[in-house]
Amino acid sequence: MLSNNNSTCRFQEEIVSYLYDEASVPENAAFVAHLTNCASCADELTAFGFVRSSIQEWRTEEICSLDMPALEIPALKTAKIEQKTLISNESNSWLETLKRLFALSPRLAFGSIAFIALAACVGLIFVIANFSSNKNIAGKENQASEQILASNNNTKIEEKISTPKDEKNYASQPAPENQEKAENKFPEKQPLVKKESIVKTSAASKNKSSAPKSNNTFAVSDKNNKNRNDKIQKQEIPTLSNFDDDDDKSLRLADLFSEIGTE
Amino acid sequence: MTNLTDEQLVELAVTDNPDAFGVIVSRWERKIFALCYGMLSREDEAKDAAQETFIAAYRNLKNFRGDAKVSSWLHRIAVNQCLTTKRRAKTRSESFLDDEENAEDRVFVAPTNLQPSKTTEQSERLQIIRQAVFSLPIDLRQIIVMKEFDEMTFQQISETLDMPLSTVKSRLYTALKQLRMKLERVPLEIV
Repeated sequence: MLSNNNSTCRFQEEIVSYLYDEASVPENAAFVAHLTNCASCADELTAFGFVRSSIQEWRTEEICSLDMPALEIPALKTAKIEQKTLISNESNSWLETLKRLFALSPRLAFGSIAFIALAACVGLIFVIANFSSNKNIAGKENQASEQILASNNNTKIEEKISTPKDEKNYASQPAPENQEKAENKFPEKQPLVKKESIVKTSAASKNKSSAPKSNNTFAVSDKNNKNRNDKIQKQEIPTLSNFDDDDDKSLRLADLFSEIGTE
Repeated sequence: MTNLTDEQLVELAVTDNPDAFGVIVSRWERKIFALCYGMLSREDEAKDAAQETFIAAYRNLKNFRGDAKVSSWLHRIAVNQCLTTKRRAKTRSESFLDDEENAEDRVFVAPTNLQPSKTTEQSERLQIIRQAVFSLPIDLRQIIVMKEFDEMTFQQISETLDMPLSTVKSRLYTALKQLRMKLERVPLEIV
């Protein structure tokens, strides 16, 4: 018997399941059996089919032809950028690269460590050898400079003894003062000028010694000379070591000529 | 990576692999956009809603427990996003077609992508269909859109909307019945 009143039909859900082909086999069989007896359900099924095809047409014409907008997800973008930077940082780190390399081949790691150790030993030996040779050369130069200074001092003392000086003037003007001034004027790293200063001090002492001197002044001047010589020795030893013998001689000659000229 | 299932991709994405989530986006963006468009009826709003859906999904990746399918999870987020958008629009008095009583008098936003070669008759028919779908209440419309646009099964819709299967079917039946009444004026050559 066909029933026209669909609102009272209990097959509402079955119509939908059947329409969308999601009914189970027993449900399907039961609904097909019902359709033969229910005209309203059959009519409704046809109408729903029409509705579906209308929606499908609209979907095809409008929705599917819509341009899919490019979705921008900032969090995803930042995550990707962070990951990229992390990867690039990892790849740039030389330590990481070394670690990976050594992890791949332990033999290579052992070899490279042995090479580094060997290079360090060779470097150490080279440094020690250089240091000892420099020490020897410096010792020799010091000895030579001491000898030169000693000879210079002797000549200066002799000159002073030969020319007496005024006691008061000499006491008021202590001899090392000029020497110290001259030394202070020229730093140790300018040996050429230093040499000149030594000559100048000797010339100054000569000028001072042109005045008459008593015996007491000799004792005082001897002490001053000793102090001065000590200071000269202490301060001028490293500067003299920088000169060659030939240069040294030429300087002296030049100084002598200048002295002769002034006198 | 494209051969992996959605669930596997989510697992990868959780472990700081943004590319995996990128695959999920490219796999589902069209359907999510269609769902949003079907529910909101505006292209710009649909785009924003789809974008917000994926942003929210990415933020809550760690909260995904795997109880439901990823597709259901995404659709649920999208539906919620659309509902939020509609609520905001309603408060701004900018919403369209959510009052069923005045649906007949409403002016519909004409789609900009209709081809000029289409006949006027066909355009009119499509507009009637649009009007009919968008005039449905939102709870019925979302089921129609999920079923027709996204081709989801009843089970998936049930999981997505967290409602019983029978409720989904009965709502779909009601929606189809209302659409039948609204589309009776449409010329029959569509069939």
